[in-house]
Amino acid sequence: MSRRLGRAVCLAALFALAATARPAAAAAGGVSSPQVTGVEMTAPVRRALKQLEEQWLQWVVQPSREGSDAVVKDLLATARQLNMTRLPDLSVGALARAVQAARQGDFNRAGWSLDAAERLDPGRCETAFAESTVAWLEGGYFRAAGALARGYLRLFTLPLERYLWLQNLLVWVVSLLLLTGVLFLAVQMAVKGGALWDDMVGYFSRRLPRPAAVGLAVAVLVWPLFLPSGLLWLPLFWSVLLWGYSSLSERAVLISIWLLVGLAPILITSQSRRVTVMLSPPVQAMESLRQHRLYGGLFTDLGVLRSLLPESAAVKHLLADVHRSLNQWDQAQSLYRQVLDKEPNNSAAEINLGAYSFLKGDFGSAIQHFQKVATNDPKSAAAQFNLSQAYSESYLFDESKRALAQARAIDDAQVDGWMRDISQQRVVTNNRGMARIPEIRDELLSTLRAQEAPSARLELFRRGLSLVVPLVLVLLAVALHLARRPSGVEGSAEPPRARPVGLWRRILLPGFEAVASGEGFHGFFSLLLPAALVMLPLFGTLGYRLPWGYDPGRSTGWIVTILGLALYLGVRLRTELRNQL
Amino acid sequence: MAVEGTLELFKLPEILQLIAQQKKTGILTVQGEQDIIAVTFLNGEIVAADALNQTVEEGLAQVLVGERLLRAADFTQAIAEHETAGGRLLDLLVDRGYIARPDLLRGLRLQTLLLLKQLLRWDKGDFKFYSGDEVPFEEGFLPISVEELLVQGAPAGPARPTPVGVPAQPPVHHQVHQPPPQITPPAHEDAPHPAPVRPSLRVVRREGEPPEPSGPFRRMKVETPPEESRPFLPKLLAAGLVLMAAAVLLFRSEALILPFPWQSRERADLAQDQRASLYLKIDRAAKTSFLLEGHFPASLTQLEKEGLLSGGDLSDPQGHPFRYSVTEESYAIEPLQGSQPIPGAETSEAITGNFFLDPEFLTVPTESTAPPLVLLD
Repeated sequence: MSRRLGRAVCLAALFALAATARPAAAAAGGVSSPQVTGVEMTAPVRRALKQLEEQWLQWVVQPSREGSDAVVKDLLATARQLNMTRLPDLSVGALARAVQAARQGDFNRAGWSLDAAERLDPGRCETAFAESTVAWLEGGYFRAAGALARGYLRLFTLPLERYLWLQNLLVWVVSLLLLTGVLFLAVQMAVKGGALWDDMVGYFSRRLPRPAAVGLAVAVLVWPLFLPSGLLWLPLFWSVLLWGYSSLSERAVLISIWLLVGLAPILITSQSRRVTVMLSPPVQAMESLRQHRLYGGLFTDLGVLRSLLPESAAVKHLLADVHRSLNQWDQAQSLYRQVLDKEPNNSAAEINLGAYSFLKGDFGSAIQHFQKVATNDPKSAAAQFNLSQAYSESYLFDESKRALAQARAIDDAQVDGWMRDISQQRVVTNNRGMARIPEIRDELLSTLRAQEAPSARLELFRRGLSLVVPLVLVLLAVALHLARRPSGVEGSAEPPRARPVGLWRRILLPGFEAVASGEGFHGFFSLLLPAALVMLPLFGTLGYRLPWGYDPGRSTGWIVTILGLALYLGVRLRTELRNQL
Repeated sequence: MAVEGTLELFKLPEILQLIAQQKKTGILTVQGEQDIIAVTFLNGEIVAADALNQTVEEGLAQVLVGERLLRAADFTQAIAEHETAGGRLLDLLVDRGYIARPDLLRGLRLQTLLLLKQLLRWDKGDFKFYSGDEVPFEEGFLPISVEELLVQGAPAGPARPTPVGVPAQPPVHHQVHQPPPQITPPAHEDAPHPAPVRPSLRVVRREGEPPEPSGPFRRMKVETPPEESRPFLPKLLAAGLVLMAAAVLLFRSEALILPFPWQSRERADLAQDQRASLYLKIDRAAKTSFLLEGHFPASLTQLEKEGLLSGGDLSDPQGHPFRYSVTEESYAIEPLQGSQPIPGAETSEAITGNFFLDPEFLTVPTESTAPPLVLLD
């Protein structure tokens, strides 16, 4: 099996079970089989989900803003029954409907559809992008630009999108630096290759006729192309040859490029492994739970999580919290007990288990659970507060008062808050299972590593091999430098003088003058800016696609590139003209 | 046209800066109390310097030996060979492998700098600047800017490198295309060389006249040689490299960041991750379409038209086009290489497991019609 945690692979196993379990699930009636719905679902939960489906159909056929607002309000109310506040699938559906309406010229409908999208999943970048499209179709170009900018700003408030964007930035920056490195070497070859060529031909001519010497020099310059990954070895080989013709700063740049070539694979491989986990359905499900976002495949993806880490206490704890938030206490208590079997001192699970006993009216058992927590964690105000409630229900009022006083002594403000909500929630529960999401992510990562590294040492060596390359290159360059000295074929460590070149060549070919003058860093950075501008439209395609529900297109990148290049060339032209004057 | 004056009136740094600012080409001669130094400028930058009391070879030999670029014994042997072979000593040193030409140029530059630093300490004497269009200098010599000289020459340094037993060389003649007016140096009884005046300032070669066979400068370069004389192949190779890098960036970007031959697995993993993110995006778009229309779209371009995907999403990150097939409840995507699907790169998704789309996902139990069981106490 590959190291992927892809939805298809995970679901294949899940639904193979589902195919045989479906009749049983239907027969079960009250609680659905986890093989069908990912996690067990009681009838009220399924009814609530069904209600969401029906309410969505009502929204689709709404003809007016008022009707839409009312249905959206109902949808959100139903979602709240499941302890959810956002409905991302429906939000994307609403904004797609808005764009459809705008294309048909119904901007009124487009407007209230966008409002619905925003209410169903507030603060999403997709909604702003769709708003931009609608505004553009309506002729409000400035509004469109504003909405587009707002969409990109919203990107940084969304965890998954922000994460992927930052990973894309890393890939883009590494690619940019490597490409600039290649350009730098190309410029070096163009500027200083003449001297290298002369020396090589001169050296070979001592022993060979000139045509043969020329042929040999060509062969020496291009032979790495014929190696596996020749396009990598060619510029690296040239950089070694040009080492002797480079100034100190150019040599520093060459070493930096070599180091980057060695480090980039390690960086990207490590990143790729984390991205694999982040894009996996279980992690998306967990992130959605954290944000109270209810999407269509949420429960199935949680089922995938359970099938991937069946023995994980953290996963059981999380799923127990999910069941509790869905008001499925029976399923929750079973999982809390399994957590306590693995982690006997888990106070969070113990308190929630006590709360279950309390709600079932088993106050004796509840007191036992709360007392255990109070003993293990004397600073737990929640344990003392819950104890006071359980004592009270057991008519042990003195003990109840003492426990309440102790809870107030630990955290008076919090107890006040609990007292205010006592009509809705008699005992305090907690969501510590949700707080274990990073731990679960790490477990998934470990599972992935275990799958992909049958021989850890060999793998480590293979991965670290790229770091050996810069070292070898440095040694090779120095050795070549020293070896050529006695033979009189040594290149110039001092930079050759820049030739006077035409105005437009200076403007359009950045870096040439600097490299010709031996200013390595200046030359590199002269190439970096135009390379960055040219590479800007590739930002989203070099790394990972952002899985947003509405695509803003690539026009923004192209516009920035064209304007940026025009500005850059304009500034260079102005500077050159000013220098001429 | 010549400009002249005394160092009491104009300090040397001022004169040098004036020449540099005006980017003058010509020769500045300064006659001090004990020596005469000629400084050659090309476009305001110093490209050569000569002293009356020391030949270029002497000074250069001291520098090269002092800098350990050449052994004294080698130099002595080279002189012996030079006496029999003739020609230029500098050429002989390079041709016979005593020293690499870049090292020779570096030494020449260092020697020039030392001479100039010595000159900067003069505060008495006369100067004269002979402007011209062409001046002689050694090809490949890295010009010294006046700014660099003034920065380096500011602190008091040694007047000259200490001689390390390098034998003096007979004077040689410099070649000058357009000579400055002759100047007559004062006679110096202590001068170690028989020639009282630097030949570089005396010998004149008219245009078209063949160069003299000997002299300290092998190639007399007045202006930069024409571009065509440079080898074309390195530039062609450089252009080829840029094109190949651009092609890799566009069509195999993972090979740019994971370039080594032993990283094929990492490249495949990265490509699979990139595809996974794209498939996730396509899945969201397809299911949104299902949510609105009740079925998956007939083609991916339909999703592009609706704005749910961009044009770039219709092929995989490596540029392979997708083959998209759809059924009532599912769809499948296969990247194609030629007309064949790439093994292991395909995906398929269905409405199964999505409670908004799958009508069978929620089997809500109907209320029981059986009579309730009543327990009587």
